[in-house]
Amino acid sequence: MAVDLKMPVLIVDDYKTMLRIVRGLLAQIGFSDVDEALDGTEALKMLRTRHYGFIISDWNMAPMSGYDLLKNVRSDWELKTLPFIMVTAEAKTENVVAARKAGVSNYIIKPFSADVLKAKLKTVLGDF
Amino acid sequence: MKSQPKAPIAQRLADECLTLYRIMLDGCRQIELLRDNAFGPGVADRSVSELLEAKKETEVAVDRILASVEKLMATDCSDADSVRQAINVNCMAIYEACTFQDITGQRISKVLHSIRVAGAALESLHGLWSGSLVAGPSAAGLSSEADSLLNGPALSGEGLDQDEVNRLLTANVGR
Repeated sequence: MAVDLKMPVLIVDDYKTMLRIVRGLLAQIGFSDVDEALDGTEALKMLRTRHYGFIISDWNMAPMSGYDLLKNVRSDWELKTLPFIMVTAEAKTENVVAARKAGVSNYIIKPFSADVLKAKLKTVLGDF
Repeated sequence: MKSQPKAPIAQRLADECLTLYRIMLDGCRQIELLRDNAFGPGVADRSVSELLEAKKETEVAVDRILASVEKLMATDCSDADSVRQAINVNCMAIYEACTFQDITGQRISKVLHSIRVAGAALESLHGLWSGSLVAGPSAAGLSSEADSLLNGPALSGEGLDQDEVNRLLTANVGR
């Protein structure tokens, strides 16, 4: 089944420039209904008020990091199957292993290209 | 004239010595914190490397953005399809290039953290040496805030690239 490009998407990053970039790349790919949050706490509130198709989150944010957001999402009965893509500059093995253990759907290292983002979205969501 | 009893003088001397000892001990502790967190082996070098890397990333990004703008300006405007394609391709390239700002921002934040730790420790030392027993802000407190999993962007030659991350994600490791 083709992916619904109209599905709502949540992007989380404390750098507003990054939010603009990811929003722009998603728009180029075809996703137009994109909401933004500046940290994990705000994201969690939004996730509990709207049904999102997937979430793209940075790791390094305060007060709630992307890693803590991921653990919160995976421990929430209603959110635990939500596709969660971590987009981060954290490039150590321990980070990837921790994120995988916490249930991340995919992991993108910053800086990244539009092609990598699209390929990862296809891996997680299926062809579109 | 009454002579002061010997015991209180000895007591005062002992107290002064104890105070001096405490000041020296606090001073040593602050110097250790400075050495470990700001000027220790590799820490100052690392800060310099982070700034050099940030400078390089900025140059690369600006070069990519300018190259995309030049390509856009050189587009043959008489052909609508090639204009549309040039806009799409070059705008994507500009978006990608702009991701440098997040990375350089994180590098500069790491250097700022080291400077703050050094500043807090120097302030404490100054307080101790100027006769005040009240220690300044604790450098230890500043450094302990960092999450052990937060390393920030890697330097060239360090960290994993996307292919290595992909392999780790699909590897059969115990969960």
